[in-house]
Amino acid sequence: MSRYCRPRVFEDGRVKPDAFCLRPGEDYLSLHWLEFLGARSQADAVDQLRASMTGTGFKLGRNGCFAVLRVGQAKAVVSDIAGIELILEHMPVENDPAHSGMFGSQLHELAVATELAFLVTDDDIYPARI
Amino acid sequence: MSESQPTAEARQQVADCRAALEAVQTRDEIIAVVRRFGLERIADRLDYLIELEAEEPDQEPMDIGSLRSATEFLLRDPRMPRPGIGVGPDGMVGFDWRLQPTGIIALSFDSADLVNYAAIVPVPSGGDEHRRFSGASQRADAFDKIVPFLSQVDTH
Repeated sequence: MSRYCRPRVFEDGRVKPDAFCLRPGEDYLSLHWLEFLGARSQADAVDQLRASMTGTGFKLGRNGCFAVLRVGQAKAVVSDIAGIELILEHMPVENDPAHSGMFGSQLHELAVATELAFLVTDDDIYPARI
Repeated sequence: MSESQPTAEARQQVADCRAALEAVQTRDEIIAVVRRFGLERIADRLDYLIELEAEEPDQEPMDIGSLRSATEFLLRDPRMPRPGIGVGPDGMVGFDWRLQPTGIIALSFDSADLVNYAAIVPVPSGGDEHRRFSGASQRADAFDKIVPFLSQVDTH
């Protein structure tokens, strides 16, 4: 899965925990389930994602990024450590077939967000614009 | 970081900046206090985060109360390692530090005196093991919780 991280939550090549926090009123974290794009590699999937998001009119920040996480690893870590079950739901919308939502992070939001940011490695970060 | 006491001059600088912080009314003025405190790179980052608001007008702007609280936190110790700084989707200012060999501390300042914190810190002699703690507390308590780990901050 991939989360678009705005420039305000990305600094010096590192994704901040704030990147995985909910906006006021949101009940799920909006992200993309890369497997639904059918790409041959993670990098190709992000390329497709970049194109599809731009195609929907979404403005990608010049210093933003895409952070890629492995669903199973993220769910397992958060479950083991915080006892929280994250639920990922595929929620495709027009021109955005991989759009998904992650539910369950509200209760201990910063703790979960910090775990997710900690899981992101340098190899899992792609520039939002190329 | 806390091995030696700040000098009288440093304490006076903190007191002066605290007084200045109480008197200011805008985000730019708060950032000017940060700059006056000698934290140029932090001030530059805060300026940049505010500049970004023009590019993303649909996002919550940086909350001035949160910025003031975060600045108060910085003024607690001038020797604090420079944090990473971001703005959450709710407009609250967040600090983060990466730790050596691996670890992370994250803080989020609300518009009053409350700080949400979450930390994944390496266990001494524990190999890849980490200890985790999180919660919410007053600013001074949050500082006390994280300060033992700031000597492990990855400054690269």
